[in-house]
Amino acid sequence: MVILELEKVTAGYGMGPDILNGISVRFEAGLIHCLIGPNGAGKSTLLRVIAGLLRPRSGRVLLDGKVISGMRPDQILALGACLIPQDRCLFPDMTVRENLLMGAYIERDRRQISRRMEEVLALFPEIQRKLDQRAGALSGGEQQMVAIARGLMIQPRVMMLDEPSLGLAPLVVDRIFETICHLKERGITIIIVEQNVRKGLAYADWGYVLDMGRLSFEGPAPEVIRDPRLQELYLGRLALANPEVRA
Amino acid sequence: MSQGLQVLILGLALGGVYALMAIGVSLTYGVMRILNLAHAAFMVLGAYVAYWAFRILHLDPLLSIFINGPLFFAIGILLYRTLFVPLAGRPRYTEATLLLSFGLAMGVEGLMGAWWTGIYRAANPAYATRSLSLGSFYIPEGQMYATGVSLGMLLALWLFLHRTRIGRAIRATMQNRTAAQIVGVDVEGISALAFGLGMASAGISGSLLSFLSPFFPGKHWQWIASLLSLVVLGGMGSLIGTVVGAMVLAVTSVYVSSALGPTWSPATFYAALFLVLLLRPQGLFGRKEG
Repeated sequence: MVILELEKVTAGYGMGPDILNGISVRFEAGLIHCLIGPNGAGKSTLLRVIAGLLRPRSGRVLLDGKVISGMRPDQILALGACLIPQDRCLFPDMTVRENLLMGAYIERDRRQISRRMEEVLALFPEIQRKLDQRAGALSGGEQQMVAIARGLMIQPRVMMLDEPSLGLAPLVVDRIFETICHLKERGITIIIVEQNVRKGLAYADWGYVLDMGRLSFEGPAPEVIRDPRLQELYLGRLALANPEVRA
Repeated sequence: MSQGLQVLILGLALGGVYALMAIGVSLTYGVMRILNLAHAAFMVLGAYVAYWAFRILHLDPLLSIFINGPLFFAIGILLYRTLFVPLAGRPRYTEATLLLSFGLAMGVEGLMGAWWTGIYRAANPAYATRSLSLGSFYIPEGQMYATGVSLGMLLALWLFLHRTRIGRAIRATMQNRTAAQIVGVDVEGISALAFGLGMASAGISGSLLSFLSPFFPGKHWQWIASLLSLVVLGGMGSLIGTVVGAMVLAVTSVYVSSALGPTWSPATFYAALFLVLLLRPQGLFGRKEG
C-alpha cells in the first residue's frame, strides 16, 4: 500500500532556481526508505515539501490519497507526518522535558500527552535521566534522540529523518539506526535522507537515488547499493570535481 | 554608606520600571526580529491616555493600566496584521521593519503633537509628590507603586511564558523559529500575539510614566535610546538579560546622577551602549548570531 506519494513536484527557495524538477516518488507503508544522492540533489528539499515547510511550485503531495501540498505544517503534522531536520532543531534553552512537550504542541489532551511521554521515554532510557537538563547542553547523540523522541510525541505514521547520522560517532550512529528499525516494527513508515550511503542502505528496505532534482533510479536497498549507476553518480562527480581521486 | 544604600534602593526601584518598559522591545525582537523603534512613542501615547483619563475622569493612573493594557494589545495586533505581515518573506525583513517602526514613531509623535501640543504634562495624583521613609531611607511613593506594578507585570509575563502552552510556544519561537514550525506552532499567530503583548507592556508603562516624569510628544526619542541601550547590554532578545540590563543601568545612572549631577545620568546609557558594542557585542546574556 502506498502511504505517501509525490506527483511531478517542482520546488525551490524564494526567487531561486528549481531544486526539485518535476519529481515523482511513491513510498510504501511500513518500510524504511532511504534517499541518497549527491549534494544539491534535492533530498532535504523533498522532505521540507512533504512537511509543508516549503510549498511546491507545481505538482502535488498525497498522504493516504489525500492532497497535503498547500496545507500548513501543523495540519500535515496532525495527519501524522513529522520531520526530524538535519540540524535537529531543538529548543536549546528549554529542558528536555519542555522539548518533548513542545513535540506534542498540537495535542491538547494532557493525559494523552503524559502517556505518550512515558512511552517515548521507555524507548530512550538515556534521555529519561536528563529530562531537566537544557537540551542545548546534551551531546550530539543525545540531541538526536531527543529530536526523534520529540517527533514521536504526535504518534506519527510517517517519520522523515534528514541525515540522522550527521556528526555522530559510529557507535551512536548504530544506536540511532537500531532505534529507527524499532520504529519500523511499530508500524511507522520511515524516510531517511543519508549522506552515509552504505549505512543508510544497510538498514533500509528500499533505496531511491536522486540527482538534479529528479528520481534517477530506485529499487530494493541491497540492489541499489550494488548498482553500478550509483558508483558512477558519486565517483563520476568526484572525479570531475577532484582529478586526483581518479586513480 | 547609608547614602550609597539609599542610591541603590532608588536605582533598583527605577530599574524595575525600566525593565517593564524594555521587556516589550526585547520580546518583539526575540520572537520576530523586529526592532520596534516606535515602542517608546506608544509609551508616551499611553501616558497621554492615562493623563487625560486622570484629568477628565479622575481615574487613578495606576488603574488606567486596565485600559491601556487591552487597548494597546489590540492596537498592536492590528498594526502587526496590517503593516508588518505584508513585509513577511521579503529579503531584508529586519531592515524593512526597522524603517517601518521608525516611521510609526514619527507618525505617533506627529499625531500627539497635533492633538495635545508640545506642552510638558504630568498626571499629579496625591502619591506622586509624597514619599515614604523607612528608617533612615526614603522612597518616593509614586515610584514605589510604579515599581510594584512593574514587577507584578514582569512576574505575570514570566509565569505566562513558562507555565502555559501558548507561552511555551512563544519561547520556542524565540529560540528556533523553524523548529517551532516543525512541531506545528502557528508562528504567524504567535508573532502577532508577541507584538500585541509588547505593545500592551508599552501602554502599561505609559500609565506609570504619566506620573513618574513629565512628558511631551518628542520625549520618546530619549526613552527609546535608553531602552535600546539596556536591551543591548542584556543581549538582544534575551528577556532575563533585559531585566538585568535594566537593573544595572538604572542603578549606575542613579549613582552617576548623585555623584556627578543629574545631567550626566543619560550619558550613562550611551557610555554603556558604546562599551558593550566594543567589548561584548552580543550583550550579557545574548548569543552570537550565526
